[in-house]
Amino acid sequence: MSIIRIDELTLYDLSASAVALKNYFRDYALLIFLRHLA
Amino acid sequence: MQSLHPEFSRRGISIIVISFAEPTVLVKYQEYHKWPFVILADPQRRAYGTFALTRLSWRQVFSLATLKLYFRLLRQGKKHQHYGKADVRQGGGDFLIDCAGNVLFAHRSRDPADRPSTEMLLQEIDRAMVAKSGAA
Repeated sequence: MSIIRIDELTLYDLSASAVALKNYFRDYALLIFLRHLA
Repeated sequence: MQSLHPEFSRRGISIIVISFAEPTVLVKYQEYHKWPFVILADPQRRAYGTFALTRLSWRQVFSLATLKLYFRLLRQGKKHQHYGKADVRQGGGDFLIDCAGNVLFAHRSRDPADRPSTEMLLQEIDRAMVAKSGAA
């Protein structure tokens, strides 16, 4: 089992504001990484 | 996935969709698809790199399974939506993580058609969560 430094993972919401991923879930998150949009 | 969203919620799992498209492009994508999930942008692909999601080879992009998938979608009348120039070689994947950053389940797609079904995801998630509770 690998460990991701969740506190360091920052993405952007649809307004282009930087967001910490950990703020979007409490216990578990299913991350679905898309390929190109279609 | 949308119809089984309550199954994920029941398990305490938040669904977060991540794309390497720019946020402005994702706004248009979401206006069309109206997904009931959080959608986040990773245009620099830092999260993609963290989860070891690499670019696929052209052979993987145009695998037989992918061509069959595209043909099936065309037969269903699905139309390809254009969202501007995109890197068609970027691989995708699905990961279950906990709040400590432990990756409990990982699926890195070998080709565009290689995505686990929602049912399979739920089975694997149930298995991972049982294993985690057993280890605690």
